[in-house]
Amino acid sequence: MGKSSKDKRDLYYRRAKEEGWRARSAFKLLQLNEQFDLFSGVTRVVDLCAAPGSWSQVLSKEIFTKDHSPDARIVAVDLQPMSPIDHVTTLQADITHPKTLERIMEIFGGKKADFVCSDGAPDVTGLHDLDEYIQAQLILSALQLATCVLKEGGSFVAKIFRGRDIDLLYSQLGYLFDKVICAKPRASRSSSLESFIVCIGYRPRAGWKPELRPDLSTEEFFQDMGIGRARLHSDLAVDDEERKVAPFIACGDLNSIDSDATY
Amino acid sequence: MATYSSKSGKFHPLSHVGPICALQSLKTLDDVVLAGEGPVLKAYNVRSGQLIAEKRVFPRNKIHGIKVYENTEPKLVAIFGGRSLSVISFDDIKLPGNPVRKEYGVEDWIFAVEFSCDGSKLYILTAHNVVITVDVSGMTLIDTRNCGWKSILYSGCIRSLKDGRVLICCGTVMDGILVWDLNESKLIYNLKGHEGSIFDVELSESGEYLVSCSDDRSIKVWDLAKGSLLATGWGHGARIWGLDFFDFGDQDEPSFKVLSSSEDCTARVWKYIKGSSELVQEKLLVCHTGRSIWSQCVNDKLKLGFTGGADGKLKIHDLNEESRSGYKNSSWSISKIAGQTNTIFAKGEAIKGYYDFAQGLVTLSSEGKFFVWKDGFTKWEYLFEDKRFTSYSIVTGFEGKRIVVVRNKEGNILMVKFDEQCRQVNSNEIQITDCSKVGNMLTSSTDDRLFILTESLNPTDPLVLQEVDEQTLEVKRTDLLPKPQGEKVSISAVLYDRDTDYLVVGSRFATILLYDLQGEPTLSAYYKNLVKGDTVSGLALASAKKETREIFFYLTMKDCRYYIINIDEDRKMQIVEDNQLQRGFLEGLLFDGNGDFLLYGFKSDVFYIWNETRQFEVARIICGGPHRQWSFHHSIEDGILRYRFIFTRASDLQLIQNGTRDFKEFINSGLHGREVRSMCVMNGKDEAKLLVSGGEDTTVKLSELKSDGSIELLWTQRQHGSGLQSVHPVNDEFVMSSSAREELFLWKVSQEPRSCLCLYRTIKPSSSHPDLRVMDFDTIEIKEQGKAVGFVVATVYSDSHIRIWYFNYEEKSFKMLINGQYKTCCILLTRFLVLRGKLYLMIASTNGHLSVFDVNSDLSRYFKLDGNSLTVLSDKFEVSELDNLIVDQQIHQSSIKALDLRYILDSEIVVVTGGDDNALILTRLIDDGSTISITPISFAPDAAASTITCVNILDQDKVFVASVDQKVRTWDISRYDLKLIDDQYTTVADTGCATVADFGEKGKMVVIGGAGASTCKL
Ligand SMILES: C[S@@+](CC[C@H](N)C(=O)[O-])C[C@H]1O[C@@H](n2cnc3c(N)ncnc32)[C@H](O)[C@@H]1O
Repeated sequence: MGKSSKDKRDLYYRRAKEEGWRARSAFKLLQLNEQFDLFSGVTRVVDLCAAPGSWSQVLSKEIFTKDHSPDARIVAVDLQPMSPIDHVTTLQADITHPKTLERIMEIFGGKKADFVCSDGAPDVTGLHDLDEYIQAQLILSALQLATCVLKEGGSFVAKIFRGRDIDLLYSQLGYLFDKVICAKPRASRSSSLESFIVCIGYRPRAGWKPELRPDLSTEEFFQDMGIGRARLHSDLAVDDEERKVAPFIACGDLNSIDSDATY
Repeated sequence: MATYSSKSGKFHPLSHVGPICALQSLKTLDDVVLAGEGPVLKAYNVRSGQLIAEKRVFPRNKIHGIKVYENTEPKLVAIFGGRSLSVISFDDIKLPGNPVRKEYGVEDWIFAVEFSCDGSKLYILTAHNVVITVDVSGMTLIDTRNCGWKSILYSGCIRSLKDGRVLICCGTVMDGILVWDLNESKLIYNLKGHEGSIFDVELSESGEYLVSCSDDRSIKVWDLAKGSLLATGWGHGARIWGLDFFDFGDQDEPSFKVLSSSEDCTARVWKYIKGSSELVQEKLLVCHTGRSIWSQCVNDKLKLGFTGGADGKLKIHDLNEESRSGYKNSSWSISKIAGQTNTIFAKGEAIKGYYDFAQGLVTLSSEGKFFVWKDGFTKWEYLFEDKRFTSYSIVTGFEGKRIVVVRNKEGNILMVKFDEQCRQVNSNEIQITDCSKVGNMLTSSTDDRLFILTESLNPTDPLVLQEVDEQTLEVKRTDLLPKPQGEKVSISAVLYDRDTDYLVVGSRFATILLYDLQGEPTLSAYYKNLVKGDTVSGLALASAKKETREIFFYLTMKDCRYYIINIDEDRKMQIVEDNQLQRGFLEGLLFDGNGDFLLYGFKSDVFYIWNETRQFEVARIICGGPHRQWSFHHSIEDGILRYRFIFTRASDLQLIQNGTRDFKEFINSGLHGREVRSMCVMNGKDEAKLLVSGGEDTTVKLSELKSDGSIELLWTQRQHGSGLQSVHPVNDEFVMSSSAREELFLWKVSQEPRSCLCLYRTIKPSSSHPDLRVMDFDTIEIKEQGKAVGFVVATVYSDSHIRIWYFNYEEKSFKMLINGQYKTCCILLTRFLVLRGKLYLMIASTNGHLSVFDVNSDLSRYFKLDGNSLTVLSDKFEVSELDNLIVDQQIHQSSIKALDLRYILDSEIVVVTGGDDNALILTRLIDDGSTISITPISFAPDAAASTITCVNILDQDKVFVASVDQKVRTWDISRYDLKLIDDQYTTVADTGCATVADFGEKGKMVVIGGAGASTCKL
């Protein structure tokens, strides 16, 4: 996030410019796809926190081939405005706002999405536990949208920071998806805590109907889903939350560009 | 997926230095301040700095807020952090035993708490703008309320007003500040004006004002009756995290002050006056290092401010210096002085020189008028006029003797002695005759010997040294001190030492002269360009030995460097400590009442006093800069540093003198203000241990590591230009550190006059714009008859390069022996291996491979292995190519971040590695005589929930592992099979490095570094 001089000399940055991608993040999604074949059969995608739009560029190229489905849709959402990308509907909105889902659903004409991804990250303060919490809230918002718009069996990919409570998130995701994997593409530096959760096989919770009510916070939305998030008890008891370690998979060819190396 | 549960570990936590995220002072108990240091609540006495009590409050979460309920005395303390909450009786803090009785929890991150006016209820504001009301006596939920706006917050504040209302203020993520009434659950205002996230909001006690700060770096004051913006203040250079109101003016002059603290590591005092639209910055406090002050509070009664930094320092600020006994701030114009002394100043006559002799200040005007500023610097008295001493005279004196020495360009020296009431009691006039044209004059006053050293404007003339009798002011003897032939000298500082009888003279042109005053004074030695820069600005004695005539002294250079220098019995000069300070011009040094090392000088228009030991600014006086007359006098009274700074501005004399202080300046000296990246332990003086740490803040710090686990900062080296990668010892005297820009620095650790660190040598980068990170290095010592004479070092780089160098302590140069490249990926770690008497180099890289190079054929041309070290066979060094990669084995999925190894036999090594892939792997490396094989034999794929960054083999059975999930674990490796023995949580976030200290009988200790440092007994 943010262009430091370190980023500018980065080989991925240069390659992105050469290949016409708007950001080096494109290679992260490409490497994730190499490993998990995320795009096969996918026609309807929501790309959250999408600006400047390199992930949408990748998705557009993948989905809108010569014989693409007439139902194909890509919706890209970000707080910042984005310049147009072929076949992509851009939406300038806050993913934490309940109205945003309504607008996405409108664009999809009520149909579900096959794949939801979020590359979002807020500006870090430097206070580690607060930053972890805020990142988790952003992922939760993306997950909230995903549970409402994703078809059964669909996939969800989101950027995470592997800190002390990441295993809480892995456990909670385990209630909603068949497979939860922590994937790190070669384009992500080993000195960075950045990683991606790849969640395959969405299984909505039995008896739960997704609806986004504007008077409910994201936290309250997930309380009812019973995925193991802490609750407020009348005796203020501390919930012993479940933790699980998701398996780790390094994505991308080991011979591809090393994002830690100086070339 | 693997699951694991937390078990109680066998690590006994000893001490922690790290971000202080909560501070609270009390209204009914002045002397106490409460601090949240990690999960531990500490109570300190503000006057003595002593720790009164400490209590571990939460098992995992850090304390982010403390609120005390007081009526006539402190009754209850509410503590929160993350989703955790605890309420304890204030008296219980002092009770022994850990942890606090009960941890409570809500379902979301807590931003603020507040007791109801009667203390029976606690209001809790959480991150989605929901307020939970709790009954305090039973700690049960009463209700939850919201105002209908559940967006994410970044800050909040709750106030229980005397009229029964409870106001909730929230700083949102996007621009607005919400104010709502809890009882009505109704939104009152959405205050707009800021841009970006609101990082703090505070309500004044009366509920009249609100102050806020945001990502836009401004501070805004709001009128809560009307919901309008009153004033804005600008000044901070980065985001502001904290605000507090204090010092409310009375009804006639409505005003208040605000204390702010920021990411820029400064705290500032602002003043608001009713009617003004500007919040004016009054004071700048440079108090922390690294990045961010995370907590603050104000004791309005004592007028003390407190800040807690990411650097682990708790700094105490005087918010009302003017009120302290002895404080002075006065200004005297020429006309005012003339008026009081009944003298007439000529047109254009100005005060040209002055000397502060403690009880008074003697001033000399451009027309030869002498005055004394006396009676505690309140009254001026005319002394006499001497027209010989006009514009070009030097005014100085003998320190501590109340003797003023004035000299004009003709060489007339007038000395006047005063008594404690500033009355002249003696005077004498001498003439310099051995000098064709007088230039600079310096004085030295040491115990009973007073010297005047004069330099001629004729560069070949010798220096004239005159010894003066303290009582009679007569010249006891005059000596001519020859200058070194053909060398440019311009004297700037002087130091005389009684024990060695040496006169050390500092000069321009980076030159130091050493005169032996025993018998006939001679030039014993001179040292040129051994220090960097131009002018020596200050000299002070550290220690001296009479018998060996060995001397240690401190030296400051005007261009902001300082040194501790040793001149040994052979008159050889060695630098024992050297460092640089990016603070304008450095004029001198002093020691305060605690023995801390202080530096003073000028930076742009400010005179500063900087505590170099503890890394904070002691004082800052705006004076316009160094290019005018100034005087700085200091002394220690009752253990407190008292200073008086006098300067001329326009033609007025300004005086600032600090008052007394009955509180500590700081509690905890702290450590790095950014993540610690690498650490090692070395032996110190006697039984002491030293911790050398390298941080993301680019500094290398030397600290004392005590057997009780506490870390006491000694020195901060600012020579690296980028964040540190690795710090490893070579032996007990030398340590190396590496970072980006191809920086590999060799440091020498000395124990005299105190433990210190100086830069011994650096490797010259390979290009003019070096970019590469030196990721890691390993050394093998070279010995001759058991004595260390040098070493061989292997360095690995971020561009896959590997270099091996030879270093000799005498020659002080690095010679490249081997140069090569592995592949193109970044190499992370390296170790020399000795197998069957042959040398190999092992590396671990970002591709998850362990690789071994045969370096024996190249190195055996120059060295022979002798036990654990090398001896030199031939010094005909040439650079050879690294071309013998014999094993390249993938072990981890991606980057190998930590590695340690243990020899089983001289042909077998066990290697334990931790990766970015969460895995811990045990590998066997065997040399069967013809090939070397690397075989992973035990895998723990989910050994951690995040990157493993530390692996330290403790003994043949156990390995210590730490990872970014903030877990420290011990694994059993005795049967070539990884088995988890213990795991425990560490409060150190971004857990990145660990090192083990062996205290012998007192046991072993591990130091864990990251965002802070923790010590644990093993
Ligand atoms: C690292 S960038 C994403 C890069 C993008 N995936 C690409 O490939 O070009 C992170 C983005 O998250 C966005 N963001 C952060 N918080 C958001 C929120 N609450 N709603 C929408 N976007 C958000 C930021 O505006 C920023 O553009």
